[in-house]
Amino acid sequence: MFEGLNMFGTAILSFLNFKILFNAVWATELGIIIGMLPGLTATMGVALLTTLTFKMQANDAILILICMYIGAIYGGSRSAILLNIPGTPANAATTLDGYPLALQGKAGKAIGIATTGSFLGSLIGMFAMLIFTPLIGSIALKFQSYEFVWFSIFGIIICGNLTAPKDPLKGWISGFIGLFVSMIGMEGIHAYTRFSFGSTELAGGISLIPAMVGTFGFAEIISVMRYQKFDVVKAKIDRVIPKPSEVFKYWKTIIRSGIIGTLIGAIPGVGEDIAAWVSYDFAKRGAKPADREMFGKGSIEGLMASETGNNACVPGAIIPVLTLAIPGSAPAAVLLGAMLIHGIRPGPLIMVEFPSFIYETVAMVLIATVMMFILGLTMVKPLVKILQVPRQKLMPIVFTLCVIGSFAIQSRLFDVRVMVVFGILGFILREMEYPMAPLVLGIILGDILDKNLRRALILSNGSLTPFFTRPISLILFSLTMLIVLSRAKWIKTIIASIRKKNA
Amino acid sequence: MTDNKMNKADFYTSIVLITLSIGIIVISLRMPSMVSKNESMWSNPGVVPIFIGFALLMLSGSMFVRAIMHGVLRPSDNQHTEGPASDITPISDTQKKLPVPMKRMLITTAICIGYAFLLGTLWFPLVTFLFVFVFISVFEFDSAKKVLQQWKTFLWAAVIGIGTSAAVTIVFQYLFLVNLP
Repeated sequence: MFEGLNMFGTAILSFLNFKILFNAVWATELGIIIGMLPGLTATMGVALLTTLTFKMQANDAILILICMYIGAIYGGSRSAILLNIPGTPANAATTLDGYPLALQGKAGKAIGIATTGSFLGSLIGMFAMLIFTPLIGSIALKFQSYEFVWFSIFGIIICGNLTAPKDPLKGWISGFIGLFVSMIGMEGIHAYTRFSFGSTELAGGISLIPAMVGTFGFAEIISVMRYQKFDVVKAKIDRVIPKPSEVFKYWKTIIRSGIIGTLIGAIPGVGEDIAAWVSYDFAKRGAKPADREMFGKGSIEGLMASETGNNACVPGAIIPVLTLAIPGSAPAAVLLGAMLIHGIRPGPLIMVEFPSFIYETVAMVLIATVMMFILGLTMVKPLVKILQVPRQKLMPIVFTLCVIGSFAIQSRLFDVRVMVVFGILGFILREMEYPMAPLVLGIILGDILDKNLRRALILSNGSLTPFFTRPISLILFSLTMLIVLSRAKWIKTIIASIRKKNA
Repeated sequence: MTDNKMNKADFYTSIVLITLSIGIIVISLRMPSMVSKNESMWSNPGVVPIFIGFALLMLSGSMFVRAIMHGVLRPSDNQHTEGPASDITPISDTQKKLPVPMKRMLITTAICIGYAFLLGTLWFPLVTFLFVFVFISVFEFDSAKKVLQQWKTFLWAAVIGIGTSAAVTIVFQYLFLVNLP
């Protein structure tokens, strides 16, 4: 415990130099700008910066990416408040109360509350990261192939369930398509090339970054260009810094949303948008009847809940990245990819191989959070002007960056084509209400599932018994079945008829 | 999308996915066995794709059955109940035209695909300039005005095109040492 705190303190001190702080400032500010522009998501920002930073030292690059991630998730609240359009999907719940506040002439106050909520949410998540990452890391050391198989399947099922609440079947299909995509190319045990149909380019596999830039970048560009312009609310932005009493009045909501956000962040692939919605819903249920009436009409508490929840999710999403090499959200998936590019091997062995890296990452989250808070409360008015840039002038520049971002890592034009194909496919699937997060999670989990399922079957000589008799495996299997069965209509009908009979 | 349209889309998607999953299973079954190399049959490269193929087949099969249960195969009687307009009024020219959002979407996709596929065949700064210039010009062009009257639009598009192309080339090629296509 004290050794951990010591490593955390050392990490903070090592980051307190001009070069690192300068990188943190520009990356966080760029994150805020990317987040606030509808069409540019946190995932896209982190993916683009991965290509910009891959020649830097590992710690510098990861700090920049974390600053971009935290900045973008917060930045999306600006357009949610001023345009009624969430800058990133994570800020969709923010529009419900942020925009009505702006219409009431309280845009400055709303921005201040969103900034403070995001700051406190990130801090709560950071403390959870500091305490639980080493603990989960120690538990993860006990994971064997059987547990990893169930964890991969559980990840797809819960991610599909939460990101497609209306129709989880589509979420699960999306996840299994992702798993299939990861099977393309050379496999890791016998170096046999699968599903390449003689193409040498496909034999190299589908890389994560181009696929993600396509599904979250190009697909978003097509979607944004559909309509002509956004209307920025013409409210005067006066006092941004909120009074402490305005904030601490909602301390229960802040702590509750922070915990919810962090927990949802730690669930594989689910992400910040769900964290914000669930936090908002809990805040609404927990509010006094008079305050509850205000939700959706400009409630400070509602705004605080959604922004605390989505930013608390960021450190939460990094916990499984570090301990299990499984991302908690789509931007965290890119972060995982970036760590691998820089030679860091996240996963159960991180506690053995790079224990100090866990605390360095927590320190990076702290630096990014503080930067986000300072930059969020300053430079509000000049940044609002960026929202007025016409989309037809911005989007070609963004697409150029998507192209370079896909190309830069492996210098393959094939990756640019992968990005385009995934962009179009992603757009069509989104139009048909297939969520993209399980697809991306599937691409990441595919390799884990492939190696561990085969390894487990070799160890058990084809017997399925250990998959159901080992304690952690049994828990993960039960949870997976519970999620699937809870969404089956025929089960609901049976339960209802049993209840009727008992009544 | 309306529920009916979505159900139809789900029906056709499920057929595509069922075909895909059967394809995955068949190809995976044809993958070589490693038993001849004294390896366990469970290490065969096709083991996991077969599992994924079966899972996808079950899920898409459920969607297929659900679409049928929701009446996708039942003859639609919408055209008789939606009102006289759909039956009697002939489709006008404006109705035949693509809706504006769809048009904008297709133009965006076409220009972006064109750019992505021109890369590597032309000099990168030139193709980037052309892409940005064409993109802005197409979306800012006002068909109600004469082309010459819109010289400012084209000038701005050219300036942004040159700026983007130069900045991207300098930053990536010289600062980040990336070999541009």
